Amino acid sequence: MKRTSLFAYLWIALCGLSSVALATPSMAERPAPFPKTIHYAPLPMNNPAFNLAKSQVLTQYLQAKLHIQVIPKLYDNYEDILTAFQQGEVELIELGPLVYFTLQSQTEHATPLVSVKHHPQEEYYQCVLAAPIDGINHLESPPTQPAYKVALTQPLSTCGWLMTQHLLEKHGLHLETLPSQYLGSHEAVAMALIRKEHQIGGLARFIAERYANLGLRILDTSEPLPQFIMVANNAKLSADERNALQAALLDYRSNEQTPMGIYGFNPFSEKLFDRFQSIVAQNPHTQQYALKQEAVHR
Amino acid sequence: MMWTEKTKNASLFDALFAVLLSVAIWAVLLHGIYQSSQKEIQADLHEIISKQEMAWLSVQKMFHQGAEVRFQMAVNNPEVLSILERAQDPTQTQQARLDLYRALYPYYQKRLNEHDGHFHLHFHTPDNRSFLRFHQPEMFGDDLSAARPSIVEVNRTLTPVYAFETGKVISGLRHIFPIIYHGKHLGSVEFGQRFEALRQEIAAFNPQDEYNIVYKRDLIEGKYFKQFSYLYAPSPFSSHWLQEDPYSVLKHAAAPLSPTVQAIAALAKQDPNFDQQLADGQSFAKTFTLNGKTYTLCLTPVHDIHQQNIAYLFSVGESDQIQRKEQRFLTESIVLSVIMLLIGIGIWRLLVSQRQQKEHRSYLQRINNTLSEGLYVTDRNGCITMVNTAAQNTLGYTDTEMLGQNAHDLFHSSEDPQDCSQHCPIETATLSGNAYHGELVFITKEQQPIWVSVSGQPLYIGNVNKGMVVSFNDISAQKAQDEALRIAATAFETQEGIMITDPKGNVLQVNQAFTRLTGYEAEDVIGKTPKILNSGMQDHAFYEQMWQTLLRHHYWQGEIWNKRKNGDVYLEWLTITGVVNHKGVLTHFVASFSDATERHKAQEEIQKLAFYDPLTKLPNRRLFLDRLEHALIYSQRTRQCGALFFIDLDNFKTLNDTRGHLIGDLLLKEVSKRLLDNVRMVDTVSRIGGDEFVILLENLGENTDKAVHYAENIALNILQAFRQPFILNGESHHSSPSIGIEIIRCEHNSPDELLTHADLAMYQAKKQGRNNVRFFDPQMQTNVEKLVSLQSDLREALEQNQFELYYQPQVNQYAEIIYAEALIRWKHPQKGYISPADFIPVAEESGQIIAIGDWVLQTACETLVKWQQEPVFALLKLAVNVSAKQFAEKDFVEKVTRVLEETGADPNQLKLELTESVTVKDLETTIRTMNALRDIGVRFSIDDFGTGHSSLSYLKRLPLSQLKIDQSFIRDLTVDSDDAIIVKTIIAMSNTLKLEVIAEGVETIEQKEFLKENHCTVYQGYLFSPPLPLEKFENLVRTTLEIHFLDA
Repeated sequence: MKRTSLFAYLWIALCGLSSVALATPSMAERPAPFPKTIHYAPLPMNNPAFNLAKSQVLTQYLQAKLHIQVIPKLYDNYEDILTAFQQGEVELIELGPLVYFTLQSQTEHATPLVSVKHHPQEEYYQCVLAAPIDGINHLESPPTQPAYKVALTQPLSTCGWLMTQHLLEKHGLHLETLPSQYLGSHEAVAMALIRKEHQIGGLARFIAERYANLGLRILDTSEPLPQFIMVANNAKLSADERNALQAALLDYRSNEQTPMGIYGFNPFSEKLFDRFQSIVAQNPHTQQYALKQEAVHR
Repeated sequence: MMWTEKTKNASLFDALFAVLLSVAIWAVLLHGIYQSSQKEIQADLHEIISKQEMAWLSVQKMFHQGAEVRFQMAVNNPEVLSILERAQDPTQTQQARLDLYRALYPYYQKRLNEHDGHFHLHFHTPDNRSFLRFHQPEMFGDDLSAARPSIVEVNRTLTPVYAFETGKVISGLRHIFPIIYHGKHLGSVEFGQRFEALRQEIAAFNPQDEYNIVYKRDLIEGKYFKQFSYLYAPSPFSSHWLQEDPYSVLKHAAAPLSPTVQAIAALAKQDPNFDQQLADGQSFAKTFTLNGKTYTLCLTPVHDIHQQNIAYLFSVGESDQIQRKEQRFLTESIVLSVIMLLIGIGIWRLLVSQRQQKEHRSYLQRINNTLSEGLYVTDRNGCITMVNTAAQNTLGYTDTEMLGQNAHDLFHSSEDPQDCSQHCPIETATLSGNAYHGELVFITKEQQPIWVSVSGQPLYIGNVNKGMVVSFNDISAQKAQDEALRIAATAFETQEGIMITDPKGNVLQVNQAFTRLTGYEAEDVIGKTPKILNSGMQDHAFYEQMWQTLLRHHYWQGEIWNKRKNGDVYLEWLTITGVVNHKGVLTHFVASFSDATERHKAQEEIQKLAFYDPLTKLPNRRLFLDRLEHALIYSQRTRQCGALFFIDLDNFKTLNDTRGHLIGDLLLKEVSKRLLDNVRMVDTVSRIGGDEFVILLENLGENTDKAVHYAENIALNILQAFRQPFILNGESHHSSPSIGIEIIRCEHNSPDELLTHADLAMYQAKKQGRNNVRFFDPQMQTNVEKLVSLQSDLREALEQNQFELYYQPQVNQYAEIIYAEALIRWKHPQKGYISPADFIPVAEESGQIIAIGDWVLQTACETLVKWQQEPVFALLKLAVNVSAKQFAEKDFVEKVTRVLEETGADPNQLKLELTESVTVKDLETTIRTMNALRDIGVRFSIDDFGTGHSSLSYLKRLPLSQLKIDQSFIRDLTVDSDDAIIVKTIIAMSNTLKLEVIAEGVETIEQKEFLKENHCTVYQGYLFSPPLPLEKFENLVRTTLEIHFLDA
C-alpha cells in the first residue's frame, strides 16, 4: 500500500514538473500575430527540387520572422497556380506582371505585396531585341535578308512574345509573320544569337548585357516595366497579416546562397503597371494566347 | 526463520556467483568470437577498398588516354590555332573568342551528347585567365590562378597535366594541354569530365553499388562563382563535406542520392569517429545494418595535382558476404550463450551442492562442538579428519593445526617416545576392529602433559574400516586430586603435631606427632576440646582474642603455653587454619604445632648475647645505640632534654697489667653496680667496650640548665661513689673515672655525634687530670677537627715533598761556624709556613713523626755528602733532632746505619740530638742504641738540657759528646739569677764530664759574653744567624770564612 502511494506521488510530481517544463518555453516563444500556416507557390520551374531549394531560404526566413509555418507548394504551370490561388490553396505566390494581370482579371482577392528585385540597382525591368555583333545591326522593315528567325524565351515571359512583339512593332515588323522559336530561357536566347542560330531574339536587358562582351548586340530596349511581384491571397489573409508579411519581405536581406530574392524586395508600385497595362491592352489576344502557349510549351 | 533467511541469502549468493562467473566466461569467449568475426569482416572491407581504389584509378586512366586524342583532333589544328593566334591581339580578341565558340561549338555539343553532358571544354589565356568556357561562355576573363593550380602548372611548364580538380563552376577530371603555335604559347585548353561521367564508368564495373562523391568544404568554398552556390550543399555524411549539384540542376545530372544511401549517410554521421576518418584522408570502409541488411560504405580519397585530399569517392552497396559473417557471429553468439547458460546452471547446482555439504558438515561439527568430551576422527593413517571444539580447547591447538596431522605424532605421549610413535594403542586396537578404553597422557600444544580418559572406536562405513573415532576426557584434575590426597596423607604424619577439629573445636583427628609431643593418645582427645591441653598460663582474654581471629580470618599463629599429659608445661608454636568448603562455610580447624620450648630458651640466650654485656649484664653497645636512637627521637618529639655520660676508668690498663684480667673484670662488675646504684631505674647504663661505660639519662625536662644541673649532680655522685675503694678478690683498690657529658637537646639527631661529643668531653676530663667531670664544649670539637685536618695535611706534606730543611749555624767563641743544626720547616701550599711547634706535637701524637724523622735524617745525610765534596764544608758537623718515638724504634740503629751507607755520609759528621725525656724512659735500651751508633762514629747531643730530670750519674752512662742548654735558660740569663746559676751549673757539669756544651737561643751580645765568661764556647742563636735555607746557609759559611780569612 505504501509502495503504491509512493509511486503515485512520484508520478504526480513528474507530471507536474513535465507540464511546467514544457509549458513555460512554448508560451514564451509564441508571439502569435500569425496563428496559421501559409502556403507559398514560387514560379513554376522544370526542376522541382531546384525550385524548392531556391525558395527554401525565403520560407525559412519568413517562418523565423513571423513565427508561422510556411510550406512551399510547387505547381507545373501558371494556370495551375492561378487555379490554386482562386481555390484558396495558397496564400502567397510569385508572378510575372503578365500573369498578374490575368489573375487580377479572374479574382479580386489578389493583393500585390512587394516587387522582386532582379538587379541590385534597378527598380524596373526592361526587355530588349538583340542580335550577334557580326549579325544585323539595325532592323529593317521589311528585312532585306530572308525573314528574321526570332528566338523567344517562354510564352508567358514578359520579354517573350508580348514585349518582343511590342518592340518589333516599333520597327514595323510583326512577330506573327516571322519564324520564331521558344528556347526556354533568356540565356538560351542569348547563346543562340551568339552562335548565329537566330538573327534576332527577345530577352531581358540584364541578361543580354551579360553576353554583350561575348558578342551580343542590343538592337532596341523597351520602356521600364514592372518587376515580378509577390501576391497575397486576401481571402485567406487579413490586412494585418498581409501587412506583417509585406513588412517581413521588405526587411529581407539577400542571402548569397539563395537565388530567390537574392537582391531583396521593393514596395509594390502601381506606377509602372499603367504603361504595361496599356501595352497589354494593345495586344488583347496576347494574354490569352500566352497562357495557352505556355501550357503547350510545358 | 533466521536459518531460512540465511539459506535463502546463500542460495542467492550462489546463483549470483554462478551468473557472474558464467557471464565473465561468456564475455571472454564472445569477445574472441567477435574478434575473429571482425577480423574476417575487416579483410572483406580491405578487399572492397582495394577494388574501389583500383576502379577509380582505372577510370581516370581511361579518360587520360582519350583526352590526348581529342586535343590533337579538335584543338591542335590550324583553324583553331589561327583563331587563338588572333586572340592574342587585343583588338581581335572578342571576335576571336566568338569565332572559337562558333568553331568548336559543334564539336563541344557532340562530345556533350556522347558523354551525357558531362564533357566540358575550357580555353585559358597564357596568363591563366579564362578565355572561353563552353559550358558558361558569357563568363570569361576571370583569373584562375588561385582556383585552378593545374592550369597554372600547364602554362608554367608547357606540359600536359591530368588531375581531378574542383573549379569555379563544377569539379571534375581535368586534362589540360598547353597550346603552342608557331613556337608561340597561346594558352591552354582543358578537356574535362564531370564526376558524373567517371561515376557512370565505375558503376559499369559494379552496377550493384551506388557511387557518388563528396568534396572538402573548406577547399571548395570561396572558389566557385557565388551565383552557383546552389550547386553545392552539405553532404548528408558530414557538414564539413559538400555534395555536388544536390538539386540536379545541371543538365544530365546524376540521380539524387537514393534513400538507402541517405539512410546510410545518416547512420555514418552518428558515428563519432566518422568525421575524423574523413579528415585523415585515407581509404576506409564501414558496415551498416539497415532494414536487416548489411551495407558497406567504402570511401576512397580523391587527390588534386598536389596530392591534396579534396574529395572522397564513396560507394554504398549491399554485402551478402559480410552479412553472412555477421549472421554467423550472431548464431555463434546465441549458441555460446545457450551453452554458457547451461554451464552457469551447472555451476550454480554445483555451488548449491557444495554449500549444502558444507552446511551439513557444519551442522555435525556444531553438534560435536557441544560435547564436553574431546572428540576427533582419524583416517586409517591416523591423520585427523575432524576435531571438535572441546578437543581443541583441551589440547590448545586450532582445528587448522590439527586437521591432517597424525594424532599420535601430534599429542600422544609415552614414556618411550620411539615405541609410541610406532604403536598407538588406540590405533592398534581400532585397526584390528576393537574398541579401546584406557587412560593416557596427551601432550598439549604448550607441551604440558595431561591425563585423559580415552575411548576409541573403529569407524566403519559399510564394512570398511575407515579409521577411528576417539573421545577423551581431561582427568588431570582428578589425578592431581588423588595425588594431593596421597601427599596430604603423608604430610599428615609429619614431625609437627596436628590436630583436626570441627568448627566447635571438638577434636576429630590427631597424628602421631601430637601423641609424641603431648603424651595424649588419639583416643584420649578425640571428641574432646583442646582445653585438655590448657596450661592456665594464658588468660581468658587471650583465648577470646584467638577465637575471634580464627572466626574472622580462619587463621591464627602464635606461641602458646600448653600442658602435656604428664603435667609439664611447654611452649608450642601453634598454627591454626580454618578449612572452608566450596560454599565458603567453615568445616574444620587444622592446628599444627611444634614444641618451641627449647627454641624459646635459645632465643632468650641469643637475645642476651646480642644485646647485653656478658660480664656486667649491662646493655651492650648495640642495645645502647638502639636506646639512644629512640631517646633522640623521643627528645625531638617531646622537647625533653637528656644527658649522655661517657665514662672511662683511669689507669684501668695498669690494673690489668699489674693484677691480671680477672681482677680487671671484677672491677668492671663492681663499677657496673655502683653506676646502676647512682642512676634512676629508667636510665640506661651500658658497657660499650673495655673500661668504657656510657649512661643515658632521659626525661630531664625542657630546660637545658636544669638538665645540666641534674647531670652534674649525677656525675658528682658517681665520682663520690668511686671514692670508696673497691674490694677485689679480697684486696682494696682505688679507681677513679673520667666523665664526659653531653647534654641531649632536641636539635640533636645523630647518636654517633652525641657519643663523639661525650667521648671528647671525657678526653678533656682525662687531660685535666683524671677523676674529673667535663661537659662537652664546641671548642673541643673545633680543636679535634683542626688536629684531624693537620694530620691529613702532614700525610700530604710527606707525599708532596712540602718539607724543607733549614740550617742554623753553631759557632765557636770566634764566631766561626763549626756545626749546624738541621731544623725542619713546612711550607703548606695554602696555609704558608707552619711552625714546627704546631705540627711536631701532632706528628708525635699521630705517629707520623717516624716518617718525618726518617725524611729529616735522609735529607741531612744527603746534605752532608754534598758538603763533603767541598772543602769549605768538609769539617762541618750537622745536628739532627731525633724524637722519642723515632729513637724507640727497634730498628733505629739499622735505619740510621742504612741511611748513612746509602747516602755515603760520614757518620763522624752526624750528630743526633736527643731530648732528656728520650733518654730517661728506658735507660738501658737507650744506652745500647746510642753505643751502637757511637761505634760507627755518630755523635750525640742532649737537647734542651735542664728541663728534665737528668742526673749526673745518668749522664755519665750515656755516650754523649755535647750538652745543649735549653734556650729557656738563656733567654733571661742576664736578668734572672736562677737561670744564670743553672747555666753555670750545666756548664760546670759539662766540663766535669768533659762534654762540649752549647747554648741555644743566644740572641744578645750580653748573653754570649756571659756564656763565654763561664766557659761555654759554642753558641747557637739569632745573634749569629737564624735558621737558613741550604743555599743561604752555604753562602753564609763561605762569607764567614772569607771574613775570617781577611781578618787573619
